Amino acid sequence: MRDLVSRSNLEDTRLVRSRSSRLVPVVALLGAVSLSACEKNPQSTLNVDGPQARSINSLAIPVFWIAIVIGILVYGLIMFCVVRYRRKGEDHIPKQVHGNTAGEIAWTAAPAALLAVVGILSVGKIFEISEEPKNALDITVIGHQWFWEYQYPQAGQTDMNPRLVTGDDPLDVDAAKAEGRATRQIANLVAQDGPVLSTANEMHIPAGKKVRLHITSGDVMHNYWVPKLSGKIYSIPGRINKLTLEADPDDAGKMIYGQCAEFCGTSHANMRFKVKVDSPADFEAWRTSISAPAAKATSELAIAGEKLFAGGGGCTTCHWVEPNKVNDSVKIGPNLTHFAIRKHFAGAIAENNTRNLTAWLRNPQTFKPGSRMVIRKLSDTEIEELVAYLQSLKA
Amino acid sequence: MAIVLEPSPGSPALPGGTALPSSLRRPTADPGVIRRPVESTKGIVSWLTTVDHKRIGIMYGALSLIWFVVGGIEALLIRLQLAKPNGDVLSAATYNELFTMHGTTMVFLVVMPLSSAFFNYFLPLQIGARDVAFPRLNAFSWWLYVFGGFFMYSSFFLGGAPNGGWFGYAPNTSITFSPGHNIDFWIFGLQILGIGSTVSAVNFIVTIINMRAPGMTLFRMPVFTWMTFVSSFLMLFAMPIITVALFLLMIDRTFGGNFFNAAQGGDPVLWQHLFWLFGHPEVYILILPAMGIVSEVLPTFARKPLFGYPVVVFSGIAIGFMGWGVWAHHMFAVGLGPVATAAFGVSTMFIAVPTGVKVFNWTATLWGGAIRFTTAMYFSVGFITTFVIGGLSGVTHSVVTADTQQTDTYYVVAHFHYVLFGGALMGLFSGFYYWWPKIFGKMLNERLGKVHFWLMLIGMHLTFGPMHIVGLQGQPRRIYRYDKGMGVDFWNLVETVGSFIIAVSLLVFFANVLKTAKSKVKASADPWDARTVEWMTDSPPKPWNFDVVPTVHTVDEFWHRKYAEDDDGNMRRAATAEQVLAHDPVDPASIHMPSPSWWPLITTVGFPVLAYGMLYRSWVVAAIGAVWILAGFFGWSLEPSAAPHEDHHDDDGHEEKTHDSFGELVAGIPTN
Repeated sequence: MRDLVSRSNLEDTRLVRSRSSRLVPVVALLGAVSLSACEKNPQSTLNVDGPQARSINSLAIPVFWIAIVIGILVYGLIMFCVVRYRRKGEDHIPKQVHGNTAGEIAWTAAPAALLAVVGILSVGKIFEISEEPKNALDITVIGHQWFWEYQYPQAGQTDMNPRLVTGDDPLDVDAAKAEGRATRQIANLVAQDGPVLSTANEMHIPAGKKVRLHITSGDVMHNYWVPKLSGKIYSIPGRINKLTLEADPDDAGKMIYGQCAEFCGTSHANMRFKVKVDSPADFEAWRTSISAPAAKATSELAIAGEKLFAGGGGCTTCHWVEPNKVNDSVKIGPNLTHFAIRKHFAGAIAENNTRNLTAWLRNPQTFKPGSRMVIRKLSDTEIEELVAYLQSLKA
Repeated sequence: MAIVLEPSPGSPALPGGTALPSSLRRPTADPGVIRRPVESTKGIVSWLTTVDHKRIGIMYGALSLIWFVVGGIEALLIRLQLAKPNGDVLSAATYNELFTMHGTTMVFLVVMPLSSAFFNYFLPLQIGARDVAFPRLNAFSWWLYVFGGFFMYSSFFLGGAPNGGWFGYAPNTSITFSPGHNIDFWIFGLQILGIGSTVSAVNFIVTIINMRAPGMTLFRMPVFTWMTFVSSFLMLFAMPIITVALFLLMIDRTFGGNFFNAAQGGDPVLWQHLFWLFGHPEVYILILPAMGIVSEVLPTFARKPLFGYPVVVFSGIAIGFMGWGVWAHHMFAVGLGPVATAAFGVSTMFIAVPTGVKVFNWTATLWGGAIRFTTAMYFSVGFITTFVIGGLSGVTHSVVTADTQQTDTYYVVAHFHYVLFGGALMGLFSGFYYWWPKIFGKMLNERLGKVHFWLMLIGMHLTFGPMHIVGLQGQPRRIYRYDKGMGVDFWNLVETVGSFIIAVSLLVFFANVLKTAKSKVKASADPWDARTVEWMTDSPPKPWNFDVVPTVHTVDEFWHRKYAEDDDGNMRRAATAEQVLAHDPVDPASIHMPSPSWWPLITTVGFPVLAYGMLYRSWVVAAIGAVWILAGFFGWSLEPSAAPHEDHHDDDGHEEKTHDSFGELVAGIPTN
């Protein structure tokens, strides 16, 4: 079902032009059915899935209603004046009232008092939300143009000690050499001493357990937002921001929507992501599965693809497949070690399937305009080989 | 002071009263590098060289309406792109240019200069002055606005328009992530515009402090003048902040500075602080003038004095002060820490108090009034009602935790369009309908005006109302497309329909302007039975504004000359407007106005040259621009404040013989 939805999306964005036109109505119909089965507003801030978002709404919604009531009262007052006090002829000159001190003090003091109450509640809520949770699972989140990278502690562990590092921009090395200048320092990656597990676009979290996100950026400012779980927090180069999230226990199995909310360049709109809520057991299983290096490619196509990936394709300038990453080099693309187990790719705007991968490798720029993934034109065979390799990437 | 009053004809030539022996002459004033054109110059030259605040005001108004159309077309393209999911009207890159230029245009090229149009035209009239304090500086501000705007828009033809958002967050606007010239056009364009705003802020402040009519104490100034005063101070202090920020960004981009480069120890959050420390007062710079206009229109058409005048004035001042302490509410999700966000959350909450006071006082002005519903009044009441919605949604933002959900979504877009479109622009349109007869001597058509109002109001609510909903449903701002299945399709379509209704309403307005221009019907000096000093002169006013500058006794000076209390305490008409305005004939030659000047225009030409030179790193061109500007200021400073005596002609084309060279001598002292 999901697959079909994504196909109709692709149809819509004209990424795939070779599809049989007879299929369109069928796909559209199935798409509509599956949509109606889906949640109506997957990014709604009102219908939420976690205690942090609920806590925010417990104050936001009453304030919203107070505002509406005050708005109606003021509108009523204005409309009353408008209807009641019409001019009745040229000689109609009303009493020249210049003011009323008691009234003016009243309508200064009353709103101030009401706001003071709201203010006290609001300040309390700020400190409640920003409280450092105990025994939370640490996850490091790094914003990139235009995808999110996640790093986890090894299976069974909860703590990370992220720190900031700076590195050469791999795409600037040649230009810098040619111009005889120092290579541009871009990335301020969060890493930690010792191995980490990394993935992209889909963040797995255990249901009913607090996670503590340590958020930074590898390039420009981004804004990390999972509306159904909590408010936003900026991803800023050179800084580590923190945010606590928790999904309800009964959310296990859910794919919750997220999106970058701060304008971050050409494809800002395409910087989406998903939060996959697992049961605690599933979560540990997932973490274990991404701990091992990728299995060796076995099919002929995939082996050819692996060669292309590491060599003539130029993929390893930005990407890596463990255990082949050199630890101290900065990588600006996502880790592809367990690419095949991800449901989405390319900023989570595309379902991970053969059709989309083929379209992506044909020209990433049509998917994600402005993407730093600029590749040479690959032949159909090369694309087929790379797709086969990517689809083999799991432990 | 630029306005020089000569001794009246026939008075002694020298202060001592001694007549000059026939064998002696008074020295003639140096005409300067370029002779000043005389006041009677006609045609295009008279507009290029004018220093008349009224003509400058009209030009500000006309050009900002043109930019309004441009910014509006950008908005329509944005709405077309977002009318359906995964829209393909625009590419991502073009969309980003358009939303950047839409914001930049509407703020810097439309609402600010439109307010400036009203400041220019009505501030001197409202305080009974003949011009602003520094007429040539005023022309200089105007030409900077012209060149700044066209400079920025030339980017569309020179490789791409600015595309980093009107807020230009670093490091996305750094050379690393925006290597083209797009951002450079934005930086230099805003710098040029910023100089103009700073200069006119000084000009208006000095004018208000020094040039009020006799008897006009500060608390007899009309509220529009007060709001001009407050927003000029805001401009004076806010523009330098954005200037510094833009300089830092320019140094980062042009010379490899690292102010905002985290990898080299800089801090991108610094940009946000600087930008919003300017940006939030800027919001009040945009709204206060409109509040001033509404505070003029309501009393006129309700036939009641503004309720609680001192409170309205003080709340405006309070907003001006508090506006400096709320900037970080644009940054609640940036991670400033709970203490800082709590402080800014509370200060933001309390800025609602003086704002609310204004709304209540306006409502109390209507209460018990004798309201006449002209188009101007429609727009003013429309202003209050939409502003209330924008104000209340603003309070919901001040709840910090709620704002972390709302910020960077369409909910915020809804909020500030209710304040700036439903608020500022509706107030400014109210000003158009209210003051049009004073400016052009003709009344805008009321029937078309009301069609304009209703279409604009309905279009406004249809466009921006649903943005509250889609924002809470999770649609972020500045996205060139959204996916199917987000549940926001319907309301986005409604918003697009609404935006076209607004466009139609503007067509009605322009049709009204054309119809009025063709009409032969003249407006009287006082078509609305108005209350304040700007109406105590002809429609349109003579170049010197008032034949006789009125002595002011009260805020509603004009009204109190027309109406008086009878024995029962009821107001009765005491005199018609014509009777009030009747006076002995005045010899125009006895009133000397500053002569036109070429220097503001000549000097300003250097600014885009300097900017293009900097932008393309052509240091020779930049140097030519810089030297040009300097030379312009030199020529300007050597210019006498009036055209040479012998260039003046009287109305019949004969040389004026009655002038006395004493006036010429005084006029020879450079004043600005």
